[in-house]
Amino acid sequence: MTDGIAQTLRQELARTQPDYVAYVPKSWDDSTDDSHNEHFLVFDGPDGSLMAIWTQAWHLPKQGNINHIVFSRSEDEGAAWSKPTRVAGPRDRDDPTHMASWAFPMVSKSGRIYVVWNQNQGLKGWILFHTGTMAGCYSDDNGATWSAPQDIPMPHSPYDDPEGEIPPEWIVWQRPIRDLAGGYFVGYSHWVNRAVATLQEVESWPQIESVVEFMRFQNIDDDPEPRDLRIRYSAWGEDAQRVPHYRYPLLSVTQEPSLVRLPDERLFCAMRTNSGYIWYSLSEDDGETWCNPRPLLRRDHGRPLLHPVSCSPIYALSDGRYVLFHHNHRGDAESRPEATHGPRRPVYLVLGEFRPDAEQPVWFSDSKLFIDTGGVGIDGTPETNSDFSLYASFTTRGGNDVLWYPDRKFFLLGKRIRPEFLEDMRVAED
Amino acid sequence: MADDVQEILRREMARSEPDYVVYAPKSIDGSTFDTGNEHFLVFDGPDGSLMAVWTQSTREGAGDHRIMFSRSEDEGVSWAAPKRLVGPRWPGDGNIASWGYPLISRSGRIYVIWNQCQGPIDVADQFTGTMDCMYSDDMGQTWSEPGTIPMVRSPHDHWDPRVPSNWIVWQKPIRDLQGRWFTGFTRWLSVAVRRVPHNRTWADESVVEFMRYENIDEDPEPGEIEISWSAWGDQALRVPHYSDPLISLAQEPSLVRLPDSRLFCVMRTITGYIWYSLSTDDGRTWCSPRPLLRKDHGLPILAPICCTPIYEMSDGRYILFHNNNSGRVDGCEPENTRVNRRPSFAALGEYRPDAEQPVWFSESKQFMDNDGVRLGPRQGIDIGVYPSFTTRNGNNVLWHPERKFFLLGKRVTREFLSDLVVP
Repeated sequence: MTDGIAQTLRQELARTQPDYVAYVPKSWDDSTDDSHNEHFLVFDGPDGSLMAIWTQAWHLPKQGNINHIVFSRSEDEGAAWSKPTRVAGPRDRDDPTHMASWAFPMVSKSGRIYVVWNQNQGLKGWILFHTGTMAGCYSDDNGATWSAPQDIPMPHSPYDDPEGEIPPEWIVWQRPIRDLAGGYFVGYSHWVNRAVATLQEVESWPQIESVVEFMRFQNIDDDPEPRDLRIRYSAWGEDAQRVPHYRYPLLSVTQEPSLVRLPDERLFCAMRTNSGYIWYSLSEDDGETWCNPRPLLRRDHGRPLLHPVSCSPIYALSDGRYVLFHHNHRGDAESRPEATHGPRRPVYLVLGEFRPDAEQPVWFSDSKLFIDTGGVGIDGTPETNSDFSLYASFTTRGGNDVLWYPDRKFFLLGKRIRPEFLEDMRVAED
Repeated sequence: MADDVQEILRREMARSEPDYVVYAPKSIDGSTFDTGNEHFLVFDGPDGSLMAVWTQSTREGAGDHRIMFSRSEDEGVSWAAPKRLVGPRWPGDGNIASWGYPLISRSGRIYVIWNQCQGPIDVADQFTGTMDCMYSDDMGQTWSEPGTIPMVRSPHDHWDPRVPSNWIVWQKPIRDLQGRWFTGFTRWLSVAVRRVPHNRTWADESVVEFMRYENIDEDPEPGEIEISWSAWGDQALRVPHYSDPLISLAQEPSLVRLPDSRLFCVMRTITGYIWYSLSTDDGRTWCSPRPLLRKDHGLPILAPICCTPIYEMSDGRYILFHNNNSGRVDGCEPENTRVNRRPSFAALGEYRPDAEQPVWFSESKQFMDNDGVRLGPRQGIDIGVYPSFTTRNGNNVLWHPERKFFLLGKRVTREFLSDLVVP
């Protein structure tokens, strides 16, 4: 890396004023096979450390990103991180192993760390890196070594290839949370196979049909082999969460569900859509059944929270309130082919508070700018990707609220949510 | 009337296969100033007759909206010559009077209330007006002088109090649980406070609110009629616009009472599908609007920005009329109502007490069409719009202004419904 490049990277690393730096790629031109980093899930390790799983990729001409799963840990609350180690997926460009994508962690009561991911099998539905079986492995030594990957059975869905040849297209993008029975519970995007999709030809990927469903890992604490993980699905098939596309209402575009537990034990799920704003759903039975999705408003009868087809995670702060991240605009509804998935910047934060007597049980403040790239890519020019895709995670250790985020899908960073930042944010009263 | 005009009228009147003919204009070209007829509200008269009020004009927006009244003593087979209650006889004959609707008191007094243009125009002359009223104590033979019912100023109104509100009641009010008249209305936001959509058309910012007539049964004079308002101001029902979701476009609420006494309200929007709201306290408060689905977690019920009335049939089931398209017919923009307001489809609705959405719907079935043949000065193709519904003696009839031209009635027969299955 030349001095000029190093200087540019230093400058871009600082652009969002991070408090933590978890990973800086060794190059910006893909020459070190590590310049694409996303789905950055930081979690509490069973040994008290901070741990992280993410998806790293290099780019192959005509094939796109080739993903693999990496792991790192920090013993000093995120100040320094170990060198990442590969958990699954190809080792290098010459490795014929199929790619592994979108991994998420679950830790059993014994301290076993499971990592589960989408395992591509060389087959492509709509999108190669959405298409795959479910696979998993585990570590009993805090990530020092990992078991061999094993396939985890998934049921055939009415949204999957009717011929059963192409694996399903699914993505878990957030850390599963504990359910009330001690299992792990998470939502996922389920992309509808072309053969059964409402639109079989699309202008661009935001028109690919998708629904939100949920999966519950019931026996993690029994430390089973991955193949023996017992998963129960909900909001599945015809009960899936659907949100009408803004031009083709029979087409559902609903993705990237984000869950928080409410004080009354209900589950609250925000999800991104192709309507120009975020929608939500509620479950009163720990995720077994869900209401039909509804527009997410600032308050009952208030304005919707604008957002393109981009991640809109919600997290519980250490004080019990909530923060939700979004772009605060409806996306580009005018361009053709459709480009409603952007721009994915800036990132705004809204403060959420529980309103037990309201129809929508979390109400939100106005939005406040949290981070931005200024429209500049990691090479310091506006010519390269300047978007955030907030495949992020959140930790609240010791009352320290931190958003862990991939900046431009390049740097892996952390930024604290300080009380000073929140102090002028007001949520409407009931 | 020339023979060819008569022939055209006969032919066009038959397109939707009506069972009743209430009014046929006397010309096609507007020369008789009666070729616009809409907001056709047929209701049970206090004397057992069928009565109707509607808005007549040369064509909608021609500047001669007037309120008309007629009655039938033979269950709609024949109708008396219509009587003009208020409004200009032709363009230039005074301020327009639009969108009349009836209320009947326990004593048999018939009130007719409408939007009276007073001169100042905010959103449009046919939206901006005071709430004016007259009544008849002799079954519509004679009518009182018009009076004005006070309306409370809304945060959605113009800042200048001399500019009246922008509002439309389009359906017959219903009795609330205490016997008072209750209805929803479209409130158009004043140009002074509204947000403007990217695609400037008539489809401007609007919300749904409700009004309750507190003392009609006391036979008050118009100036003494008391109204309480709900879903008002910042509690109004809003539905995000498809291109600018901060704009609300929610209009033409249609109400039915559920068996559990809740109120169920559907409304038209510009999202390409119908939305609904529910009230568990007889209309005082409402849930935030939600997409109307065929069933919980089902597909939305498509509709362009056009009337989507729901009615209770004589057997307690529901029928919803809509155009069953998203508004983007043959590639047109959703605002292009000259293309997307036909045919008229019906969906059968049944109460589902344990469901989140308490009425579920069958697939939609074409109820009637006009083949897209343009007619009259307005050259419209709208069908199934601004109708009303009666269920006398088990006879379910949709009374509708076909192409906003003819006033017709069409029965919803058992045979028509027999193959509609609700999940």
